[in-house]
Amino acid sequence: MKRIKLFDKNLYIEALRQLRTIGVASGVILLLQSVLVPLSVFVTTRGINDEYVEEAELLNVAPLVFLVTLLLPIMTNILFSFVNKRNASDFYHSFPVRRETMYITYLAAVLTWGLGLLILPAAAEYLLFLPIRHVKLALDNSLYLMADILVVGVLISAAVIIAQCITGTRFGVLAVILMILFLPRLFLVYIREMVTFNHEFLLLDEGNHLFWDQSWNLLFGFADSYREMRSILYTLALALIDLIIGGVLFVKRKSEKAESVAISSRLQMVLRILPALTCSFLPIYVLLSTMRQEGFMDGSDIVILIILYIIVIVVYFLYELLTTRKLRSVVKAAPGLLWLAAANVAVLLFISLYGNYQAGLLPEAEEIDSVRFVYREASYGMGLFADESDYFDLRLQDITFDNDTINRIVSEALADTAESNGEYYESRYRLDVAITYNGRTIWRRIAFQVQQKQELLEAVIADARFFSFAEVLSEYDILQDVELYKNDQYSVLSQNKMRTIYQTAVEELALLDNKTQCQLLSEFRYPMMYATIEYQGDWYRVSLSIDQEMMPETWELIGSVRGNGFLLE
Amino acid sequence: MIEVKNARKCFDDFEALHEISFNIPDHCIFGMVGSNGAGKSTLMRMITGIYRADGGEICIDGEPVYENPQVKRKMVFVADDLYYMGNASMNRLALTYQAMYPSFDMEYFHELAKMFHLDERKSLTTFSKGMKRQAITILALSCRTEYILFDETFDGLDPVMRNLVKGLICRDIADRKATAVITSHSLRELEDTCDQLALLHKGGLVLQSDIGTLKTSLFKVQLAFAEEYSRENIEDYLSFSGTGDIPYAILHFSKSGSVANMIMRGDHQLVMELLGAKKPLILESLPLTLEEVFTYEMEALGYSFENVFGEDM
Repeated sequence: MKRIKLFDKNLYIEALRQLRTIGVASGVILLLQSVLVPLSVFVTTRGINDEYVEEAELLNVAPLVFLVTLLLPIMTNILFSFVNKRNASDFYHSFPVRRETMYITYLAAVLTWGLGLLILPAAAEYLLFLPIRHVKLALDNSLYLMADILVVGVLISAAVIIAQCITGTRFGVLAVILMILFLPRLFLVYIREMVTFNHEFLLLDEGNHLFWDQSWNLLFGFADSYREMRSILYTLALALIDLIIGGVLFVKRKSEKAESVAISSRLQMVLRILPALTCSFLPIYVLLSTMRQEGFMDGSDIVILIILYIIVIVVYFLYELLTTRKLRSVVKAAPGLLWLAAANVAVLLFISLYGNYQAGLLPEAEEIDSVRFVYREASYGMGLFADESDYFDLRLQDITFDNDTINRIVSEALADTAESNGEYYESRYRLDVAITYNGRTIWRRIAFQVQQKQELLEAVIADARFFSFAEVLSEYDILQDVELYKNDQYSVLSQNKMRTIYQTAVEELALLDNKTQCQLLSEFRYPMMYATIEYQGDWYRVSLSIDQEMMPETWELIGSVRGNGFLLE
Repeated sequence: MIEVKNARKCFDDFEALHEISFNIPDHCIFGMVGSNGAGKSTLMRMITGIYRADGGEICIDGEPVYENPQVKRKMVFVADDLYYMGNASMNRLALTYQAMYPSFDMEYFHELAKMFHLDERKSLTTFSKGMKRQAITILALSCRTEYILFDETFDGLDPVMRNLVKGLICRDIADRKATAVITSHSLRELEDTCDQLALLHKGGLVLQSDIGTLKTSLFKVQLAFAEEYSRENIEDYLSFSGTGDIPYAILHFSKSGSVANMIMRGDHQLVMELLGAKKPLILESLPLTLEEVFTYEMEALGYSFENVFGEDM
């Protein structure tokens, strides 16, 4: 059996040559940025005499580096667009190179330019920042950012190849690129939102769920998942899958299919259904929300629904018209509307069935293996502790409870919440809870009655796994700020004083039992001390009531700093 | 040798080539003629491994050509619809060809470019249609491959350039013992260049022969007798061959007044002797153009032959 040569050096050099113009032009721009930014930083900071050193991120000092994300697909398009021009396709396929070889070699050329454009300007910038005393370029962050950019660039490039291989017109290629990149995740986000819209207490996107948590995909959740290795790896895996699909399509693609609307009429049907199906999300939402809120559809609702579905149909035919530019094919596409209707029904059915299935997962107390309280920044004020002490809620989520009382309260409250479908949220305490039972974990936003919440708090504090408040209060990274509050009077302290008062308060707190600590930390009794602490990169708040009897030293210290008048008023 | 065995090609429901079989011997200039849509370009693309045959096989020197770089390295293809990489210059394209064909002769390329007075540094987009074709032909010839395939190459070339290109192809074949395959919808373009010809019609191979045999196989006879005569009379005059075999066939007979024109196949000398013995008023043998040869051969095969050669007929 003959060995297939997967890489051709001559073709590689030829491909690099084809990309030379765009590569060199972009390289010049990026290198200019790499030189000019450190130079301007040097000029603006040279007069500063103190030892303060700021750690800068590549993202901030070289924002143009993001261009590489777009340059990779543009370069890919330059090399692979020949498949959609009849004469170009014949020209390249007449070369004495196997298609596999051409595919891999071209990819290697794109990656070479991409890596060059990413690494060389970044390295130049890093080196030029070295002599600047007050600003250092953070290397680890820069590497993460470069990995993010590269992976997203490769993912978009893979989509470009697939689109080029299955369609033949410019509009078709662009539309398919967008469909490949965004539609799968958009469908998942939509279904998640629709399911949780129907069943508010379901938290489908918790627990790093591959389907429901969009931050896995860097393209979707860049703001959330930037610098997260799992997102880089997931997006890389997606890119590799797309590259493999693209490779198979490229090898199998017939040269004579160049300039065809799509490689098959069935595929064209699927492609025109997808944008229309995406648009039909809106009428489906209207349908679901009206039915949920009103239980029936009146005349105006039906008119809105009809208008929205007319738009969907227009989109369906418009795609066909824009890709084929033939009115005859638009007419031919009409029977495909039945498939679109079927897809709508399928989406509705799936949302309904999946939502009911998830909402029906109501474990009994004895079935529950463990319970964990989940901290969400977005759910500020929904903690088990006082609203102003989100730090303890954050620390609480590290603890997995296996406690009969907690299990019972959670099970009862969950059943209650499911039955009411979140109607009690306004009048009860809401907590996000991860429940593990029968080998699976579900995340739910559960409404607890006041009594239940109190019972839960006591059970949590009494549990052996629970932390000592005073201990975790000492585990901050930076003590950002301490304020004293009494009778509408705020008092901001200097760095030294605030550290002393905070430290003294924590030491005195440590002498008390955990229940009393909890009382002081969750009750509003003047004077109050509010501390802002930084922990693992984020800021949190802690409130503490200063009791003269239980915390005499802190009391005295505050008196000496603020004057006894402050305490006695 | 290029072997085409039962090659079949369909584009969706349309069958462009229907189980074609023929061989192209080495060291010859092989012409393929046929009207638009006959399947010439499709066949060329199959021979060069651009298209995959839906049935049958195409082999070069005994090896299948599709996705076979070793075989494809032996051939270069000049398509009818030229591609010149955006606004690349000849020099830029030469680098591409050089990268793909190890046998590319850069010196020969420069020599040819000079001969054709083409600026190698100028973008091909600034060239006229004919100049573009010259440029790509030069690049293909510079590849120095064993097989060179030209699809409608003489389209857009003025007569001087056409002859120059033909001369170069002939020289290449003679000097390097290469093989050239040229397609055209015009038989006149090919008859003075090719050694062998094949006629394609509606996706089928109608005829294949070497030019010498084709040109001598048929002849045209013009004759007139003093008395009234018909086709049957002529057949009677020729019925005695002395061997028992029929040494001729009248493929076409037309009479205008007393003068008859006949297209015949067979022993030219014997036919002239037999007819001369009947003391005709006029007896003349006229040479046939290749187009006429093809036309009458086709008629004999029962093909409806209108417009096979397009407008050039």
